[in-house]
Amino acid sequence: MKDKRIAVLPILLILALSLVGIAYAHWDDTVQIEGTVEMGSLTLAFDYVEPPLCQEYYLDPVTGALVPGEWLGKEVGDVDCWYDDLIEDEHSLKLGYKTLYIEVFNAYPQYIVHTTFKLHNIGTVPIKICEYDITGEKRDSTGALVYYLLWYDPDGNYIGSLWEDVDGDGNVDPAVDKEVINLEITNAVPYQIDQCETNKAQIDLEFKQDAQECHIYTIHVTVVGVQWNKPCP
Amino acid sequence: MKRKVMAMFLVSLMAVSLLGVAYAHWDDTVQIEGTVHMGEFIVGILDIKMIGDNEDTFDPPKEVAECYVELLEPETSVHHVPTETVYKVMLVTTENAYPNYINYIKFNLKNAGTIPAHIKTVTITAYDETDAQDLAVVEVAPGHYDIVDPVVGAIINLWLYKQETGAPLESNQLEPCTAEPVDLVIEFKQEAEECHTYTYKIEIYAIQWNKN
Repeated sequence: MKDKRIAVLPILLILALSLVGIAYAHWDDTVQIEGTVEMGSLTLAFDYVEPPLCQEYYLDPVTGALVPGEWLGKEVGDVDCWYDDLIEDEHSLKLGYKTLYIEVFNAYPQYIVHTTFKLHNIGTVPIKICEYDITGEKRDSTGALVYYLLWYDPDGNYIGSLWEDVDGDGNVDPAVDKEVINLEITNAVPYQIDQCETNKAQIDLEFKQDAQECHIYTIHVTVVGVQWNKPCP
Repeated sequence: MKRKVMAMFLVSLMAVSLLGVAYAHWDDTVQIEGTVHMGEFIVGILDIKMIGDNEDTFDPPKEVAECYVELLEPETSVHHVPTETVYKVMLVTTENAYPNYINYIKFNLKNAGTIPAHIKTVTITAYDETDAQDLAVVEVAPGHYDIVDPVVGAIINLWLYKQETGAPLESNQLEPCTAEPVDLVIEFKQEAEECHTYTYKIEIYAIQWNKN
């Protein structure tokens, strides 16, 4: 009797599985979309190959034209310029510098310095040069901060001047503040630099009557670039 | 004695005769012969209709990034007349992508079989190969997904929807021999990191229409 029951069990089990099999049976299929995205890079730098060039000038009082060097051939002021902060774009493996230094020594009113530099898009995405962010400060011979410098450019064409913020209110007030340096940057913004392309530009400084003796003027110019398809900030 | 033997013979003859009456009958048969032609369940990508991007809309238009699409793993349906080849894998490669770059890919998803298909799920997984880490995928709306880096946030917007109605693919039926035009849109966001390589996999899972 017991043997008969045991023999029936597998049959019942097969029946049960068969029923379950009917309940779940279906066909199915899948489709796959596999994507790979390699992101580009946006890297603006000063050119690795061509160093900056700085040149002093004076204004010839007779012709009204700029002449290289200093008045009457004297060596009074001096200027040096160089790039620093070497970087390598990890995508393009191109080299470039992040900082341009311009150092002027023994400057005096109407001493003029022109510096030519080359911007290089070493990334893989076109860059739109949007603006130059210009700040600065005046320090005494010990390095102590005297005034911040304010950028004044009512036309927005980067032909303007730096003013000592004497009253410290952050706004140029000709009655109080002092205009100490004329500054002009080419080129007109915005403009674009495609990947691997370069663009030569220039920054001109002219020291004015109110620039104070034995003080140090530090100017910071940040070149602001965004990817070419986006609006400037 | 001779008479007895004769009687036995007669009795046995009668017995056999009786038996013969008992078994005699007419018979006939009916047969059921079954032939089953099974259907075919095959859903795949029929073709790519368009690969595009939004670089034409920028000022000025430039060719900066590139997108390539490749169809792999062909499978030919037997039942489709004429036979139809669909592909099980679509490989999308985007090179030199950047924020605000958008890929548009239009393709036909085809039920090349003979059984209606029900698109049950769309599953997306993503991975940052540069940082060797999994990326999260969040469905922010039907058919709209965000691929999210755990550190920097959402890096890719992804849409997958029916071209004609804009409805998501899930919970839709695809009749046999019917192609559904589908849009795949991939937008790269501000937080996407430079020089990184991201991969993603979209799995469209279909089952026969009468099953859950």
